Amino acid sequence: MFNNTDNTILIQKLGSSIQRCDVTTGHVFKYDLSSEGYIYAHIGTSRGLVFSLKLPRDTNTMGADIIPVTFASTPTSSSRQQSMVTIVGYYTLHVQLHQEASLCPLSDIEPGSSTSNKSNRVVSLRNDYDKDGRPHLYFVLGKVPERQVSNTDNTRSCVLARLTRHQSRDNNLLHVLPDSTMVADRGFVTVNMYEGRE
Amino acid sequence: MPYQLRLHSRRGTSGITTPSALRMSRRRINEQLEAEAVTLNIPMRHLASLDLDLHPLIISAARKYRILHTPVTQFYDEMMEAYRNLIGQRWGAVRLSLTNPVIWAKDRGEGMCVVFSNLSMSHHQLGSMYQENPWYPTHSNGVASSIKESLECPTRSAAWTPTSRGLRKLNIRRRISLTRTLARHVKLNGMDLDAKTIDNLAAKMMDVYRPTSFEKADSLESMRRMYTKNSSETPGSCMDTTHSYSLENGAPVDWYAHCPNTVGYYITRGGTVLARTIANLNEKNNVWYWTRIYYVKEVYKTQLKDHMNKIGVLFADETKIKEIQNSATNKTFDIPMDYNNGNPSCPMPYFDITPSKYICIKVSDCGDVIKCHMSSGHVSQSERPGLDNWVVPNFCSTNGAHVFGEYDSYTECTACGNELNIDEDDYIRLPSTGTYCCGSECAVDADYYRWQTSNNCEWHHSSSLPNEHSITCHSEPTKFSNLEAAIQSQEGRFYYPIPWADTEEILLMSRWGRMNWDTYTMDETSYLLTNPVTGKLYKPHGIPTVFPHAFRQSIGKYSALNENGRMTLKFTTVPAIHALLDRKEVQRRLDYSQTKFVYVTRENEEVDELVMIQNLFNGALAKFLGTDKPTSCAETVVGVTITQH
Repeated sequence: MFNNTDNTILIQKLGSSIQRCDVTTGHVFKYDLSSEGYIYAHIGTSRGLVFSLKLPRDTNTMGADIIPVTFASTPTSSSRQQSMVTIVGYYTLHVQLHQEASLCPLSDIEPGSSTSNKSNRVVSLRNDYDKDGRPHLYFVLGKVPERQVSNTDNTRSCVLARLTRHQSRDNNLLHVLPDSTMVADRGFVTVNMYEGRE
Repeated sequence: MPYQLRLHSRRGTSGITTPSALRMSRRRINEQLEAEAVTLNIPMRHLASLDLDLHPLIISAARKYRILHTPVTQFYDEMMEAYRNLIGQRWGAVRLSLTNPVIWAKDRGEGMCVVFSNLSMSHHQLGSMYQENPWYPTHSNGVASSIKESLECPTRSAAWTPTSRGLRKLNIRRRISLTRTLARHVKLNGMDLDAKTIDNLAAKMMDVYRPTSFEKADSLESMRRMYTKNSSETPGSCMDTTHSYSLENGAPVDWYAHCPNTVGYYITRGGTVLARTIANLNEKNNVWYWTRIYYVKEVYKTQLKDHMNKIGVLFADETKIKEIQNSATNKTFDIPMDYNNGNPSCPMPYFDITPSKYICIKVSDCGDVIKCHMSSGHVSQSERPGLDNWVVPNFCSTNGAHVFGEYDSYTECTACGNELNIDEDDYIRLPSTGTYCCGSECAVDADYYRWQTSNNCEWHHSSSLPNEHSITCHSEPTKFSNLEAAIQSQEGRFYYPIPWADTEEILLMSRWGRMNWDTYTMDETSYLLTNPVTGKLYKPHGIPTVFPHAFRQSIGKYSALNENGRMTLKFTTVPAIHALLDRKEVQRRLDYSQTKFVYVTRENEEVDELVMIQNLFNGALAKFLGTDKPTSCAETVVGVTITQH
């Protein structure tokens, strides 16, 4: 799921038990411990942090209602990355494009900014399109520090997830850009999580 | 009807299976079987049809299993519990099985059992025995088959006919001893038990029926016995025998036995300690006082309290504890020298309370005995014999011993070898070896961690620290013994690498780490938090939380007040639909995604891209994006759907 090239797609078998660090983008999983209260959807890794979406385990909406899921970030150095997890499903992203895009700096639309009340924005970047001239799309996650160990005054960067296929062989889904970058606000995204149960 | 049973399931009791209903269902099955035989052109004699009537002996056998369910389960559970205690395995499967129904005899205290030798156990799960049904037997399957075969045999049928004789035969019971029962009617992994296991298991099972006894621990042997944990009924503590200490000759609790002002009291049954406490002498009124009872079951705690009350051992509250500690007269007692990893050491337990206000120890001049001095006055004021080399041990340490280590004023750092002046330089003492390090960096180089419990912190080697329940701090050399210790000690700081995102695990930093290890990277605020693993609220008041310093100006964006006016973290959310599907369906969709690369749908197909490009704004957008197709998008990756509105 969510890979750039066909031959790197790795679909994991539902119910298979693997280490947390081996979970690939697009899968929904749970930790193999009885005390766990959440299921997670793996997004990717950037700046030494593993990003995922987090949903309470007992959520049972049967797909009828839209519910908020929170982001989760855990250091890659965490011992939790070696814990065993079970793949319980997968998720997809549904992008809804605006009829008319608007131009603004990234800092204006990232979650938590003074001018944005949305946390699920999709943007396109300047001079960033495929060989047919079609712009790439990026999902804005939020601000990250310049470096994890930093003494700078403020955050200046933003982490984005690329949603379109890129010509480069860079398989990393997540990218970090300065928050002063001008972007085109193209639309917003919703998540569909599918969990398989017996 | 005796076998008129209700059908029990998780959804409740659904109905009654009467003999007539069961007979009817069997008749239908037989009719279907005959129809299949005609269809397949197979003579019916080659197929076995189901009996429509049951022999009274088979019905009687099933009834006996139902009646025996409760007493057999009781015997089996006691046997399993005893066996688990015997082998020290509290969890996991233990494949002990009965070959025949066994129950305790009336005089079970004398170790006698009753075995139903003509009833065999065909099924090892006893849970369903209470609803044994002769029409569909599980436990009585073997007996029913045996009776059926015997009745068809002209010679063997004599043993079961007339029916009254058969009933008497089914009812045969033999009263035999427990050891013989274990030898003949119990299997472990399908094999007979060996003689040693039989003796030990029988002794363990009989312990349950022995009366409890009240014991005093005032010698080395009895004190060690009091802290021996070999049963799930024995209360645990950091000083019991399940924890390993590196002492060569003794145990940490030996200290209590040597001290004239401490004594142990415990309730035991057949060698299993059920409740225990340490009592301290109040020299002001010459009365012994207890402060904390360790127990598993409340009944044993009550028993121990009653017994102690009878002999005049009383409970000490905070005031009385202070009186005990302040009234201790100066006295010195000897403790045999022990060795911790080869280093001269004094056994030292974790103290709930100390028997006197001041306690100090030193190695005697002859070198084979440790002098322990206790007093109510300060060390320098007390009338202790000699003034040199006395040290005050750590009474909250769970190391199990005070390692004396080096005495000289000048010593070397264990890691870098630099000379240290103990009287003048800053240093870290490593309690497990009695050696020193220049500082935390050297201790970390030597693979040492700060081990933080709820009321103590020491540097220990990583190899000696338990992993279970402990939490290693992020980016600093501190381990908390458990989450409760992190909160209780007020040393734990919950760490969020990004304040707009929750975490997948409990990330901790310590107060020490924030101040001494990486002070410039973290800002601290107090928040009402939920456990990121279990989702449960930590405490109804704020917990110190730290973030990377880079968020210090924007942290207000990620905070919110809850309905009670408490500050909480406001994580970024994304709208989502969560669908629970059949597992096979999800796997099918996953496999489908692998072959079909991308899903693209456009709800607004009538939008004419050319018209839009002519739009002035879109022209600006095209200029910005650098492409003449600004409202389209590149091919999405798998799992991303596009709609336009």
